[in-house]
Amino acid sequence: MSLLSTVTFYVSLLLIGHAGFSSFEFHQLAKKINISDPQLPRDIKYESYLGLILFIISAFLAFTKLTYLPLRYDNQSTKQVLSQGQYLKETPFNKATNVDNMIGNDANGEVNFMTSFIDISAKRAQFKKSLSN
Amino acid sequence: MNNFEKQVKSQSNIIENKKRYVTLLDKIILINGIVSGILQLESMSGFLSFIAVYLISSFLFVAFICKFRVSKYLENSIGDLIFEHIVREFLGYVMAWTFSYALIN
Repeated sequence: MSLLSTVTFYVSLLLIGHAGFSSFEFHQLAKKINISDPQLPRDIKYESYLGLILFIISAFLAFTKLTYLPLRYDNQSTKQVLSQGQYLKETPFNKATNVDNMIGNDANGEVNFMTSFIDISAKRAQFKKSLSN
Repeated sequence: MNNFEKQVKSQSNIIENKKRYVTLLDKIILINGIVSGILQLESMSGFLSFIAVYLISSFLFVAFICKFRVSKYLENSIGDLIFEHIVREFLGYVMAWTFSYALIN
């Protein structure tokens, strides 16, 4: 949630809360002086409409672009957080797998990482290397 | 278009996109219900307020979030945007509306 959306959110809540309290007081007063069909004052109406509009704006401003952390860290890449600059995920399958490729997620990992498919010698060599470092 | 020419779509991404859309609508419609209660709207005017805000929110979602390319992010544009969640949102709206109406009056 960006700062702008947070500010608009709290301002809208304040406006709606104030309009609610004003409306409540107005109706209590109307009951006391026996007004049969009280018409809400214009300022309360405008305040509640403005509150609703600001809330809708804040809800849309709160939408952030999707970001991903790469699973395989590459020393050469300077970007730690990756993004496609989109608010939603693409649904066509050829595009949906782009994110997996970007962050280094193996879409077929359920099969590829089964013990029978892992190159044990390579893994042991990698482990030895990591120990020596 | 036969079944072989249809584009395969990622169901998990469709579900996630719908979830974000529903969360947005839930927030807006509940506040709309509270505002309707504050304004002491009754009968048809309350329902019209719901329909207006619901349609405006859907349009803003299509315009600003989907950038007018709904088929890229959802499976069935009109159905997913309007008809799938209308009952859920309407019940939430009526709850917030009657609650704030009773509190104020």
